[in-house]
Amino acid sequence: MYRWFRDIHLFLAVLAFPFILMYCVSTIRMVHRSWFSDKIHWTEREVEVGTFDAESGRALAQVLFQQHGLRGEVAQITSTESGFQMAIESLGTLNQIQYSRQTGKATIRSGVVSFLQRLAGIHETTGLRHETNLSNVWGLSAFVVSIIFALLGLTGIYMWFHFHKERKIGAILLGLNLAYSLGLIVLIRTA
Amino acid sequence: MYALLRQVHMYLGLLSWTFLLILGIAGLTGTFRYALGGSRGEPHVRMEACTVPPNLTDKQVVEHVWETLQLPLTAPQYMFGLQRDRDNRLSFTFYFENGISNLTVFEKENRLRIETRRNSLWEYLDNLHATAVNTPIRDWRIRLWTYYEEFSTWALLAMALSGTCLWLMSRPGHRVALALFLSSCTLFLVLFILSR
Repeated sequence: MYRWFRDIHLFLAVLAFPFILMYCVSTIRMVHRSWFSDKIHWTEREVEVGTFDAESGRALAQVLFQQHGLRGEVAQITSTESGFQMAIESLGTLNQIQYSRQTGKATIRSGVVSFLQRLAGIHETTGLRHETNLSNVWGLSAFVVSIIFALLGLTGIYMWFHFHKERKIGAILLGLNLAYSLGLIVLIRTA
Repeated sequence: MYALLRQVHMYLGLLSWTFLLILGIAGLTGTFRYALGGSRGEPHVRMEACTVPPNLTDKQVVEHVWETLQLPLTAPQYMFGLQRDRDNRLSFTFYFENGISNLTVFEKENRLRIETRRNSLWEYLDNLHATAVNTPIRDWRIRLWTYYEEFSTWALLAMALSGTCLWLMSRPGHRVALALFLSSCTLFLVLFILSR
């Protein structure tokens, strides 16, 4: 039984290894932003879009996807006096778009995020209802890794309990952890 | 060396065990957020007395209200949606681990309307996993939680690395493990490169 659990623990851990590393590093980046110098490199270009093709923000986004190679999800569309502005964001690139009905032109300001910012973006991608397949794949990986986290915890507990000489100190450490963490979970929930 | 590494791996796991399970719950909550639908309960509305001194800016009003109410687990910096309605009433929202509080200030009547919606347990645990040491909230319970989360994040990183060392030291030729490891790393790299 122990060998079986040890193999399961190993298989799950190696399967999730790059994802666990990504979650840890991106968490450290999100929590300790001042440790890192994340700079976005912005470029700007102007493209022609017919007024007929850009009746709405969504229609403009389709034109930009199909004819000008933009990728990502439409994050926000707001009307302006002369047209509208919107954002199209992928995990690695941010696009800020300003469209003018008078000129029929869209100004695209594109920023490429740093390696760590991209990791943070991936970290925050959960769920399976994204506009892009890639984001849905990341969402699916978050789902699988979540289950692996729980299973690693459970198989790990079994393996610890199997080591008789580690039971005493392990029980103290686990007891301290449970008292501290569960105590706080209850205290914060009831605050 | 192997025995020591195994001990460190095991002890770190036992000390951060709850956090590991919370990460699992947070990921599942994120995945099924839409399916869970309205995870916040019915709103609880109450009125409180509150006199706002004249000539304050909107942000100063928020700070005054916050100091008057002392809403637990909130901070004035963690306020969103500051706006005035047609009757010039100021409204804003405090987000916190347990839910949200929408506040409306009735300055002439010297009253406050507080509408609170409580998160489900799953949403609460998801919020808790995202509450880290950089939070502006000064509540002692939150502070203690963030220390635990900080420790657990580093512990998880150390466990991932020590676990890999333990595998390579004890069973480097394990073909299934090696195949899973290489497949997973390749998949991750391909997805990462595609995510430009």
